[in-house]
Amino acid sequence: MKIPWYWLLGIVLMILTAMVLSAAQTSLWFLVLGHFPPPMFWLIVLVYVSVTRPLWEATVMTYLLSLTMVPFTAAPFEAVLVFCLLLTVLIFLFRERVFWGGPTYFMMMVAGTSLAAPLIYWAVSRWIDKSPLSIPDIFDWLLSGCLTALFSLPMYRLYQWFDHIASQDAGTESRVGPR
Amino acid sequence: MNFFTFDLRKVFLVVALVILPLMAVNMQRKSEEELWFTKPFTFMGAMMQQSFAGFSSGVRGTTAMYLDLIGVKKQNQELKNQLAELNAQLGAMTELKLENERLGQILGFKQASKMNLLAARVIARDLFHDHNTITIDRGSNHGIKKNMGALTIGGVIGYVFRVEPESSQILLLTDSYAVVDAIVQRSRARGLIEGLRKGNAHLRYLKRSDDVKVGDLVVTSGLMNMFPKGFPIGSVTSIDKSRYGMTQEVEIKPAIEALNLEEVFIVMNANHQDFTPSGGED
Repeated sequence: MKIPWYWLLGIVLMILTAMVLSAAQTSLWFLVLGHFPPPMFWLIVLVYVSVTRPLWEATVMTYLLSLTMVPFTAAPFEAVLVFCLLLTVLIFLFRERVFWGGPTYFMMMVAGTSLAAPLIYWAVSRWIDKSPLSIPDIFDWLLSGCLTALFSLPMYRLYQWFDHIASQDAGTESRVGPR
Repeated sequence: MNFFTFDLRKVFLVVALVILPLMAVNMQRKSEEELWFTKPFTFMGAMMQQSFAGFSSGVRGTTAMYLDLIGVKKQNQELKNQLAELNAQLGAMTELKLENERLGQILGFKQASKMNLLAARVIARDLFHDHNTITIDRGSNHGIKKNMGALTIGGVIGYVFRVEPESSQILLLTDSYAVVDAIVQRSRARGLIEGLRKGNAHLRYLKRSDDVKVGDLVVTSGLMNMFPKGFPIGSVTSIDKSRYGMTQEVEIKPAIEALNLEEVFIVMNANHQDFTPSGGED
């Protein structure tokens, strides 16, 4: 069996990007802009894999993404994983019904998900945690969602480039679109 | 030939012959004298010269003003640059002064305290808005262990929950996962601090009969030597006694807004230091 090195390289690049951006979100953004709500870079990666990958690949990526996120938060791995898998499945179900591809679609998906994510996380916390979270702050929630949508466009181009690298394996299918 | 008939050409010639010498004679007169017939021309010429002089003066003035404006603009830009540079230097100096004052206070506190404290700088915060944690630039390589207390001059901020070789994460009192043993300073009623979002915390598991009032100071119990005893945690902002419950819900405003901190102390060893005002050793 031929090992799909480029495909693996694409995954590694994507996970590395998620890690670098999560570090930038928690440290660089905080040290430069203080408590101004940062964009959720991790969510852009999650939406990208959920929109462009088949379900099994998106699930694997969600597991890897959850692992990269845990070092940056007090939330336990289980809570992060359940939260991320829920988001992945919801995005996947949505994409099965509405899909036209391209950066605009991706940006809209990121905007929608970033607005829904805090509510879903709150719901997960109420379900899992003994001491659940309270309702998220509306200002942080909206501002962070808008910034995430804004940053999704340059990141979309970056991930498309990663996909281009990953598609150099012979027999790799086009990834964009529901399947 | 009639006497009165004459050749006009000859007349002109004679007149010219007569006038030219007259003119020549007149040209030898004193320079200050001005001929009457030249006055209009002189006046006109002077007027024109004045006009041109005025015009050229205007042109020169405008040109000079324009050239000056270029100079002024350049100078203005230079002054603006200097001002920006000086403002930046002033800002940096103010920042340094404030940092110096802050670090001076921290150093004074550390020297005056019996505790073994490790100063650390805050370098990051939590990935999710819903969780209140901070990351510091000290880790296991500096002797930090899990569950060590974190505080600053004004009060307790939380405790270490994850340690890496060169960094550690602190769970702040306001995080929903945080739990710290506490007592009400005035009545010595005992409970557990549990984090709430939006910068507040709960004092839970207080008995219904426990004496608590709004404004009471809540301090550390000193249990497990994690924190010094009697160190401020926060003050009571509201009390909720349900009609039939066995306990009361007390909301606390922490003494320190930990998310705004730049430097913190990790309690390496509290050395059983007691900050209780009556009977305390400090």
